Amino acid sequence: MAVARMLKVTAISHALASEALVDSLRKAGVLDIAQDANELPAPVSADVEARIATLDEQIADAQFVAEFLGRYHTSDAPFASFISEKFHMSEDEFYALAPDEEFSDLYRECVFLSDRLASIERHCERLRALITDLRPWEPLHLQISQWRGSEHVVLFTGTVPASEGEAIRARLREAVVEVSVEELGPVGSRSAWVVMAHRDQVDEVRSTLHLTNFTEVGFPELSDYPAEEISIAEERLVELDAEEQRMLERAKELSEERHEHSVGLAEALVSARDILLVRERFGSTERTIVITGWVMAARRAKLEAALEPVRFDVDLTFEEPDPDDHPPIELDNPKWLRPFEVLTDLYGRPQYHEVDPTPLMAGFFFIFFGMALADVGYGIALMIIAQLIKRKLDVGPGVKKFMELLTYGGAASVLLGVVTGSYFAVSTDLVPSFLLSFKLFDPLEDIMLFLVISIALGVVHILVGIVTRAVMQIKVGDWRDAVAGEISTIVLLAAIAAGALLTGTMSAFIIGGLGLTLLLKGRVLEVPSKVEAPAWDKALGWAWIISAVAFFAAAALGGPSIVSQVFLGLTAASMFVSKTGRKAVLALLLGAYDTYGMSGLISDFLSYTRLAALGLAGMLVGQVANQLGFIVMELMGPVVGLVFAVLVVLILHVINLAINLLGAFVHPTRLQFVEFFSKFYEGGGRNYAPLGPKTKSVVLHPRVGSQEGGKTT
Amino acid sequence: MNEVFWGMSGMTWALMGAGFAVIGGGIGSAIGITTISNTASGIVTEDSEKFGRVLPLAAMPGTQGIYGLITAILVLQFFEILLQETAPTIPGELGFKIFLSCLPVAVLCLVTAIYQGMTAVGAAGMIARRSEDSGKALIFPALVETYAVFSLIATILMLFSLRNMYMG
Repeated sequence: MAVARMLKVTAISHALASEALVDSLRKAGVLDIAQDANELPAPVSADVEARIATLDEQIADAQFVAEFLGRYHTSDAPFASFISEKFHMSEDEFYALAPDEEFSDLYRECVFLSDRLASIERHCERLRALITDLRPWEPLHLQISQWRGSEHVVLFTGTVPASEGEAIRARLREAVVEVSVEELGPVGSRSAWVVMAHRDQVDEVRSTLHLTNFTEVGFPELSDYPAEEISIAEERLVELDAEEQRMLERAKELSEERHEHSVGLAEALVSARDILLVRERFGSTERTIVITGWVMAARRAKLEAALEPVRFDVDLTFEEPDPDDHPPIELDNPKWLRPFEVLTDLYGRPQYHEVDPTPLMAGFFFIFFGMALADVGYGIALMIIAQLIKRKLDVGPGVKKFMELLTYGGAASVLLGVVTGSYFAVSTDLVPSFLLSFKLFDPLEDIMLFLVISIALGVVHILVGIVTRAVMQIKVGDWRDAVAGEISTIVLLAAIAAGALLTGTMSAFIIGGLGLTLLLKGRVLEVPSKVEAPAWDKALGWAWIISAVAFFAAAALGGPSIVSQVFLGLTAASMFVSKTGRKAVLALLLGAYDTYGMSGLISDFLSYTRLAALGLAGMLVGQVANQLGFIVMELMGPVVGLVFAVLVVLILHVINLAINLLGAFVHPTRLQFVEFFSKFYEGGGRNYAPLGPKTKSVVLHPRVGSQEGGKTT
Repeated sequence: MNEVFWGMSGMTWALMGAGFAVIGGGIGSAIGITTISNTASGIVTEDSEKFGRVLPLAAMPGTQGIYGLITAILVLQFFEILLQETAPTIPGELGFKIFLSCLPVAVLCLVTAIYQGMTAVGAAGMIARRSEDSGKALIFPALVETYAVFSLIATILMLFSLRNMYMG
């Protein structure tokens, strides 16, 4: 129930046996390879570098094929838009994947199809644009090659703004007598014009048109009639479209046959490259290689068994980690607690010598989630949905673990729903009375009680964090820090609680607790032993400390005023005469400053009121959903109304559940991370990642045909 | 007790408070969701598999709108307006107090939803780069929502107290 124990492994072998050793380590899948600490050169020869370069090229090819075929692949798995598709294969099949001649053919065909499809796309775009440009000139019965004019006539083809047509005509007539304008049709907000004039007057026409918004249009690459050219382009488009369809059909065909294989091949090649790249972390001498790494103590036997075939070539040693080591982290909790590891992983795993927060937060997360959702109906629905996703959909191990967490959340909601008497937020008049017999309070009627329960849980939650920190410090021998830090905080909180609970003792407990906290947080009692001063100086310091203790005791319990006078007198005297006294007074003031810093706890406690607010929010919206259902039934009559009412209620409850589910996960998680972890937890541990295949879409099974034990990352 | 306060009946003040809560929360949520949805759409365009991961982020600023609705429902329910056939008697002064009680939600939900949308954009960037960080990405916008939740608690407590004081 903690961070799994790790062993440092050192394997030394003859260089000739290195391939066999690495292969055995890969098959074992339990050794997290670390960087060699002996500063020896890595055994990466030119041959290995060449193999890596070849693999890089093959990976690029395989990923191109997988991505290209993936575009035409349609998954028949349910909810494929939400869940990335998984491909199942055995480890043997996975490692047997290699690019062969058949794959080279496939790659070439995919490149051809991809290029050709892109080219067709570009060509079609050009043709469509040409048809759009030609369309206004379609009625013109003049071959495009003739648009420059004849021996005596010159033609100008172009467009003018439709609104300026008349004005431009007038200017042309003013400038040139023998000119004719043929208007063909609109081109957006412009009109297509053919301006004809005698060749003798070409310069006048051109200069006049230049002064207007006339824009020349020409199709130098075309020669036939515009209508003919349009028809040719349209025919070509039909041909290209047919060719594109043939190409797409072929791509789909290939995708159906080879997509899974290409995805597997790409991932297998990446794994093969990783096995070569890991050599950069090894150390080597002329004839040996040194591999260092970490193995979970519980998997030591598996590693030894896997290395059995090379036992005569490999020297294997196991050591406990040194305090300066940073082993990778694997969490080792009982099966029922593992779903809560999702939250620890979300924040970051602990350091090796740190406590695993999973068992500490599991119970609190369970209750907080339940309070934020707090409905029997929603809880049951959530449990069913989570279990269906886990069992019926092809999801990865991480998602399965998360679904287990949501199942716990559903169970918590059922529990809290029973306590608050909430069953799909149905009015209490309609809930069977035996169900309401378990109801302890109504959150809508006792809002204050719900808020107080939330804050009380927050206080307990934060206290657990503080106590955990104190225990951690005492375990490593820092009991002084524990007393000055966490234990003094607990003392003040306990004093406030005792004062609040025991009537008539409020001021005694609070003043007494505050005084003790100031002394502890300021480490006042440690001052005389730390200061270098004569004995009389230290004696005066001790006298001041005793007077300070007596002052707080008298203030708390109502002692004589002479105590205060002695304390003030000794304070003044110590400040001027005794070095120890001065330091002790300063320590008390620092203690006061630290105690003031505890005010942050108040905002921490208040932060837990969100649980009550979320619980109430879900309940109220649920009630509105039910009331709308009743209104629909009243308006539409008993039969049709009932159908529509059920529909309305169902849809609104589904929406309410989805939104509340988000809040019920996010806010309790935030309470763990921000309010709870900040009291004792640092995190930042590296995940245990043993050498082995790192697959994304491929799920590997240990034996052919087995559906259990899928391993993916 | 006067039926009218500053020229408006208690019922009018109460309904205005409830309306402001819904409007404030609704506007905030609409803007917040629009902000994050624009980014989320871009991410999904690049990688459709990330849809499921960015959807919760896009939904987060929506809760403020719900808090506004809850406030309105509480006003209608606590002061016996909801589904009544005869108009309840709400003194003008009480109506004004109900209006004031709705202001924390009306204002804070408007503001926090907009800022939550902006924070969610940054968080969506985390998901775009590293899908496995989608859990962590949810936490930062949730920090902003704290203040919307607090405004709801303040409003609920104020309305609850007013009901106990005036409605028995």
